[in-house]
Amino acid sequence: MERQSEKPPRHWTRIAKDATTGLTEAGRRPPLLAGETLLTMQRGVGLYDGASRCAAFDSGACWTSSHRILWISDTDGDVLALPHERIFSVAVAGGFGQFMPAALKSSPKITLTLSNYFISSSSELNGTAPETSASNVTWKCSICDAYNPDNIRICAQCGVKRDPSTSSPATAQLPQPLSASEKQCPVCTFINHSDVFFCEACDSRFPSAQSSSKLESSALGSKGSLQSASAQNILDDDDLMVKLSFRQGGINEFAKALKGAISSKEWEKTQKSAAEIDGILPSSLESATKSLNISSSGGGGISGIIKKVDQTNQVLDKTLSNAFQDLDALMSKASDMTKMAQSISARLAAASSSNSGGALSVEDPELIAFRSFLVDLGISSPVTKEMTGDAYTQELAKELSEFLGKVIKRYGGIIALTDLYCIFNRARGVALISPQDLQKSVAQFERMRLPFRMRKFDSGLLVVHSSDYSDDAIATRILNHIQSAKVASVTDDWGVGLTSLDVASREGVSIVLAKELLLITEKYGLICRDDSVEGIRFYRNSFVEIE
Amino acid sequence: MRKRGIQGLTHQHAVKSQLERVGNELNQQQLEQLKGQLALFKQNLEQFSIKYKNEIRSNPQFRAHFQSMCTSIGVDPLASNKGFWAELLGVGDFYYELAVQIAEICLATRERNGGLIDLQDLKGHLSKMRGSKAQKISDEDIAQAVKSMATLGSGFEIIKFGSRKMVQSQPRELNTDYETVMTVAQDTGYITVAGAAASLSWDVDRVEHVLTRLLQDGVCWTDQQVHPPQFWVASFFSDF
Repeated sequence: MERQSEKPPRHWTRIAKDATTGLTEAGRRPPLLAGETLLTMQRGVGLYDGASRCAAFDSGACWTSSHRILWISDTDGDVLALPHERIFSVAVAGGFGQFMPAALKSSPKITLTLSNYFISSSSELNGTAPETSASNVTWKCSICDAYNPDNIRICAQCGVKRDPSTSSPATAQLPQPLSASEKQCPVCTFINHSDVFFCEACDSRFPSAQSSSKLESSALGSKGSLQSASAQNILDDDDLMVKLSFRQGGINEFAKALKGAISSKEWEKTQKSAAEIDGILPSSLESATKSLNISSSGGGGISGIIKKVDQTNQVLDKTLSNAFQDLDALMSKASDMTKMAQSISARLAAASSSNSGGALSVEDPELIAFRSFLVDLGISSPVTKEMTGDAYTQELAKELSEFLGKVIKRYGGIIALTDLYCIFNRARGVALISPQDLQKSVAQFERMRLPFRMRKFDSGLLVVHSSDYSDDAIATRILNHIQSAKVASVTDDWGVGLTSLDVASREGVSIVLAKELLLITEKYGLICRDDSVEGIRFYRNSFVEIE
Repeated sequence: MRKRGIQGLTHQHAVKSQLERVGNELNQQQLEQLKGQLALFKQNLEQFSIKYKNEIRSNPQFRAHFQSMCTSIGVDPLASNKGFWAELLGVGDFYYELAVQIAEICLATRERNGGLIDLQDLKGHLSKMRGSKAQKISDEDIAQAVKSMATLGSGFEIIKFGSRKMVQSQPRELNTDYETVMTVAQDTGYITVAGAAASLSWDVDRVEHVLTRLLQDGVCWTDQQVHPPQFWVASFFSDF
């Protein structure tokens, strides 16, 4: 939790943890907005604040979705986001020195240039203003004497680390206005004309107290309501730059997916409300019947209504046949067709419920009920192999663990792996996983410290269970059962003990599982058995106490 | 012109009923049309999901849209046909998909049949679920699909009752049927197949299966001297 105080690099916003999922931090997955789909991810990505590396955000998994870039910290599951709509351009800079020693190596980086329209208009500025003003304080490199902004720890000129002992921050003074037309550079004392912003001799930037005039000419041109106080620092190129360093490769795939997502502007489509599609498909059935009832006095509008309904149907038919011409046609109309599908089924459901005669569904009621349960749990953006590369198994394990968190209660805290295979795949939809994939991911649970475990029974059955079925929890519960059975019976000191059938009815589980639970407790030496012709009864182990 | 009196009332009534008739007709027509559109949509989706399976899978955004279309229209997106490798080696997505479908049917009907379903029943459900465009499923396909889930432990198996084949989907560890049968036996100490089937309103098959397994485990003892045979629960003996 300490890290929560660490401020994210500029332009990134932290996404608060969702307490409801109850996942451990290791299992943190990207939280999605409505209509958002995950596209690809890459591990080992570090963030830069301007030109400098952020130690606190140095290693994480970076996802690009259709709407945002999401970065999840490896260490504590901290999630940062940067919406695509703010990105102006994407540039890839290949790294160098792959064969050189680590100190000289540079990983390939993606540099995102943000459009300043959004910076100036968004509330983001509250966070950025104090940080950028800090860059006015400079420090002098002990090796090459170059002046660097305070937020950079490595000299921009020679690449040597800042030596904290010798280089005290050289406080940036405002340029000395010697006269109306001249000012002195605070770094090299060269006397410049008062209109310049960079020293002509040493190239250092003048602190921006007086540079607002320049701002007004450029930034204000596009956006009228800039507050000069907060906008002072935007103009520096660094301030509009966000860098991602890819230390484990995969940069080209990531950049490709990112560019695709930015150009397709999916976020704009989801913002459009369903109203638009309703415009194409007026819910003519209801409106037609309503207007029929209303118009009972005149009856003049009936032919008009019939005509309108006919027209709507024609439009619908045409849209349908156009969209299904080929895959490209369907892809380009995908979101419209999705809404149309929903509208058709909703209207059909409404119409058939009012006309009680029409039995529509060909499927069994049992299956429909089961489906509706699964639809609620649908995984909107399932993890795939193409998306995650070699992190596939781990990411799948996280997704699975999130899913289990929602369903396992319904199964009493324990579920057979085969059942899980079915419902998990149904929730994922088209993105089928193989039984082997599932088995591998489940095997990762313990290593990744996710809150579920796999157990193998003697019969060969594999189950996944929640912490309710950890050995400790089982032993505690069984001992409680034995204790309460002993209290209930007053016959003798030992009580009546418990059979697996008793435990089954107390726990609401099968006899085989109950027996398994008893055997686990017995293994711990907490209970002992009385093996007779009537079956096995278990009693509390008092032999331990005698010694 | 507005008519008055009884004549006016009957006229009004006539107009109203006529309007109602027209309204109903329109409704009916609309419903038919909607059904037609749904069928067309469904047919197209089924065709597409088979034809462009790989393209749909490799594009995450489109996949999400396609998925939601399938859900609202009622098309199973996992109904591809047997490819070359599936035919030859019995591996691949075809069997994985089939496995998901089989498991779903078993899960959905479990409440009623206790995780025991006749193979022919299952096939009927499957062909409905997979839609008209998909290939027919044979017994061997089902056996192969069940086998493909072997890595997930022994949750599913095909068992034989004489000439009938059943798919058992609920492993004993997670099946409370055994306990239920024994609860019935609790009052009298013994139980007959017909008696249990009647009191639980289960299939005779289901009861027989449970009792056979209980006998094997030694939880139950059987008395063959009487007719019909009685099954006594050993752990209840002490109560008599």
